Amino acid sequence: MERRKDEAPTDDLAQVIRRAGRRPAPAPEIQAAVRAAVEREWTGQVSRRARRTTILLRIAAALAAVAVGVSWHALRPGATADPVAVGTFVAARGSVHIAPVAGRDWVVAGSRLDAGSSIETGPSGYVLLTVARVAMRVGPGSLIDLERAGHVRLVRGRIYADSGSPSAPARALVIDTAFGLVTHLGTQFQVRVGPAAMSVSVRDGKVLVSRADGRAFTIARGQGLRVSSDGGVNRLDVTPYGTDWAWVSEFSPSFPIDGRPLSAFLSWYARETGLTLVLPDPGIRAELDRTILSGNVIGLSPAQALAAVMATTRFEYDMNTPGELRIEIRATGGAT
Amino acid sequence: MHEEDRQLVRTLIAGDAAAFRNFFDDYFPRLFRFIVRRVNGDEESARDIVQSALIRAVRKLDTYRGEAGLFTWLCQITRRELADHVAKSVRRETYMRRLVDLEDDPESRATLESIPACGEAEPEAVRQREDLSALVHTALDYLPNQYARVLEMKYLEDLSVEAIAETMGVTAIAVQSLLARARVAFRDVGETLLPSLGGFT
Repeated sequence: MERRKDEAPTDDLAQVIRRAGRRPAPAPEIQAAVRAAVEREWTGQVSRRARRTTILLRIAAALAAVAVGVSWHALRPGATADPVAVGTFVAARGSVHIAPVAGRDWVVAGSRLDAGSSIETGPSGYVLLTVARVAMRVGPGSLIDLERAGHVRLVRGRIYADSGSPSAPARALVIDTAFGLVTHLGTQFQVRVGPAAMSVSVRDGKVLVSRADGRAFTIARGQGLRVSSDGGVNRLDVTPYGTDWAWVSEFSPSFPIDGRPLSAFLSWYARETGLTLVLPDPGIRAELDRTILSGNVIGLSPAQALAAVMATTRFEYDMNTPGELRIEIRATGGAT
Repeated sequence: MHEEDRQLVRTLIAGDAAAFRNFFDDYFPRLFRFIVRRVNGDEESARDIVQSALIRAVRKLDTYRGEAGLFTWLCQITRRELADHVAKSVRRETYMRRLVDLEDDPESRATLESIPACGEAEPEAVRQREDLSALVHTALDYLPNQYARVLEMKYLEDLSVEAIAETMGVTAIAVQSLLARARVAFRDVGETLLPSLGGFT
């Protein structure tokens, strides 16, 4: 018996959909590359429209000001636009200039950073902030613009980004430079921009570098990319530790040790420095978990914090093997 | 009029980053599949074509009036990019023949365009009717995204109506209604693409 279309049992339909399986998804690299290129164009279009609108608003405002004797300054677009929060200030050290700051004349930890904010650091300046839930560090001699949510323009200097563990949810963060877009795919990397070149180094996870000419490069852990102003692109091998990363540890968030196991502190230190935590004796892991720390290491660099913490325990560390942080039980002495 | 699509375009023009993410995440995979089938699975070519099409689309967002669904509008732009690509390709003759097939299939076009936010007819699918998976995927891409999403959640992920409702942030009754409409729309597309087999069901 023929059945009406809307009366057909759903079993057949379910079967056919199940047999077909999931629709194939484009490769993440392709998706990220196209997204970066299209987003760049979209951003440009939005900016151009905004500029046109601003010009028209200014003309209208000037005419209105003449007519009613109102100050032009009261009508400038920035006076009425709703600011969009795109980041959060965490801490700074040395010579730093941040402008504008939402709602006040100074910044404190937790201050909101709006779209349009810029951060400039002097020769001794460091800034910690979060953008798109990614922890970022701005090194000395840098200038960045927080253009909009998840989009940071690195004009010059250096940025380090860390989105947490590889299993953390994906973050939509793009570092925009004159040499190309660096799209964050997770989880730890740095970008440096100078007058003649940009370099990208990945400590963990991977990033995508997209050039304006459509070329895209996926850079994974232990890899780097140098893009020159003449268009030259070179892949590099990089270590996740060492002098290239030293500035990252110069000013870093303190690890709250009070009440935390030593194992957590050591994992944090290894992540901060790009080292691999090595426990020659597997039984040490449980002991590290059982060793609970107290006090704090506020104001200490990671290296100083490591020395201070380990001195209070029955463990000792060894970093003589490049790239490794080896932990062993001290032969004699120690406490906690 | 496709008011929902018009609203999305308005927020894109206003510079809303969340709208861009939604726009890209929704339409890029569908357009990529739309094109990759037409270039014999050549993902690099498909990438170039869809990227060019989307760049062209964001440049002319203010010309979108909502007379057709946004996916249909994007498909038209993408098809023009494909034609440009084909014109530069040594395989021009082969691909152009397929494009002509698309234009010469009024029945498919009429049915597909009658579905809200639906795209153009699918020459590859029409030519490869034996490839049921490809046809099912094509049909899902033609459907409004929420139709395809609810069908996949129900039949591929085996979610209950209540679980789908929670995921989509709507009531269970709304999900049942959406499922009913999605099934009918899916069968409409299936019957168009597989007339000799009586559709998908």
